[in-house]
Amino acid sequence: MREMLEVIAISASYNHKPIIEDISLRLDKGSVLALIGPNGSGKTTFIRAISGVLPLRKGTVKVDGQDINNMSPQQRARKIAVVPQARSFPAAFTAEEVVALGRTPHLNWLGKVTERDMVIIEEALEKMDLTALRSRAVSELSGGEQQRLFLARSLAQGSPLLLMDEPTTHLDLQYQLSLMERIYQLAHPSDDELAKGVQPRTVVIAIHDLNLISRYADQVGLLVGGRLITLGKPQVVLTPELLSSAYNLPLQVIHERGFTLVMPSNPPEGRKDQ
Amino acid sequence: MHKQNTLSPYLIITLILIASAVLSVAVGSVFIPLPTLWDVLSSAIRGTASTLDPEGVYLKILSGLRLPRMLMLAMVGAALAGSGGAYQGLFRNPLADPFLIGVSSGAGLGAVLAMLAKSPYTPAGLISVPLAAFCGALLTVLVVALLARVGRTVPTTNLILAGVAVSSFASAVTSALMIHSTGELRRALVWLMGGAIMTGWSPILAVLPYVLIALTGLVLIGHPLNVLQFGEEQALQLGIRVQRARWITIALATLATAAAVAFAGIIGFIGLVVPHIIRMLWGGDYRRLIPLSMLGGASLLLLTDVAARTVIAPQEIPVGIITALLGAPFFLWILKLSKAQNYW
Repeated sequence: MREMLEVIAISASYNHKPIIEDISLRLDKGSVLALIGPNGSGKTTFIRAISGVLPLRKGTVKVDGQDINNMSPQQRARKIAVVPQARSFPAAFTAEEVVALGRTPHLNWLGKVTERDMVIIEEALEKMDLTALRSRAVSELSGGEQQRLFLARSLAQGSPLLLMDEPTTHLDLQYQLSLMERIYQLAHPSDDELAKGVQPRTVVIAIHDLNLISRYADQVGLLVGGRLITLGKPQVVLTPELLSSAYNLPLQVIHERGFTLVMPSNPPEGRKDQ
Repeated sequence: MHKQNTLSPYLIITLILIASAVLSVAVGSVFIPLPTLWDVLSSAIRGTASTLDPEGVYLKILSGLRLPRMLMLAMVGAALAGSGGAYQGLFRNPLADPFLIGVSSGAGLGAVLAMLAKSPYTPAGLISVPLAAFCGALLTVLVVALLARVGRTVPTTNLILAGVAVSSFASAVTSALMIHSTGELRRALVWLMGGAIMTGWSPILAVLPYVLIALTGLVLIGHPLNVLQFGEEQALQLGIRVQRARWITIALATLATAAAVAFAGIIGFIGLVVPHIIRMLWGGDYRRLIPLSMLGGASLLLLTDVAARTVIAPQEIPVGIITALLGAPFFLWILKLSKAQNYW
């Protein structure tokens, strides 16, 4: 497998305050990397930095072998699609118009879409169960529907590397699972899809829910205080020792029916009778 | 809700524009009935004498006064509404219009300075007034951008705040200039209230290049404006050169505003109201919103001007007063109708 993402010793600051320090990692094409860590550990900053919108203080990011600093915004957008955490969306647009704007890196200045673009937009709407909502204004959609809409936009962008910042927030349990399932399938297409020429995507996903990742992530990166403490397979990273020290809380890890459940070791305060 | 209209928005707005244009040339101190209007214009085109206008009086009124005035108003309305739509998209602010970042006031100051030096109707004035208006507008934008700049970017909030401040300053200087030039006071005052629409054919020729360049550019800028609606960071992640797209939009919208202000004075509300109405009716896609706003702006200014000329005829009210008098309540009414839809 070819390397899709290569991060070499990057540091980045925000308002002159260093946020991430000396992070290096490599990610193969067709794999899912889950970034975990407490609030403020630098997950969002890392995603912004490798997407090219936050200048690096040190280090290099290579996507598909190319340094992102040497790419135009359009070239970058063809390689990297981002689902941002803070979604600022144009309320007057319809769902379909938002997904169509995902095609921007492939369009000219006038934004004229071709038949092929239409097919891709249609597929993205279908994949995220949005076909019925296509003509609804964004402002009329629920939080979960908007979340799926932004995922559909990133799918329409057609970039081999997907960066997602907390894509499962606002989603109910059913959609959390189906979303993670779909993300996994994007990175690991079925034999049928591979035969049809579908390229496996590479996904970096910042996520708080530790219970979802053991099943769907190929790699887990644990960030604490802007540094990458551990990087490895889920069973290597999701250990009581590593997590308890990262989250500053005694945690236990339970393996149950293919899921790895992380939960506090101590019973809730004041309810020791249960 | 946006795509249920079966009639094409362009068709609807074009029909409204044609009706407004006809009304604009027919109505005035002398009313020209539609059959006469048709006969006079078609005979003039064929080069024959009109049976309904044997002495050519109507033709004189039409070609000397009403047709050029109609064309000027249509261009000014289109320029104001088109640039208003572009500013709203650029700043992602529903209050944005040519006034917001000081463009109108800057253009006004430039034009008043030139007017004090030259009469706007002399050939030198025809060239110098719009040029001075454009320089004033551009200078204002540059000063505002420099003041609002943080590092290499210009945050929207800073831009609007700096714009409001510089705009007030330019208006104050304009007022001071007018007070000191007693002889010019009335004319400049009327001009500031949007009652200084230049008529005749030479102003049309003088404004045409500005308007053509600016409006064509604005029509073509719709897609980058759409992408900018996601915010600068996402627009960059979608592959747009954000700063370049912003500066091109500012330059085009400033050019359009300066041309409108130089040839018609300061006319408010068109740039604010029209894009909102279009957005409520047909959605927020700027590739559609900007050209539709231009057609709508042209119609609205023509209709307003008809009102300005007829309400207390034979006296004429500056059209800027009417746009505010009618525009404000109309806008509030529209706003109330659409409250539930949260269209912005």
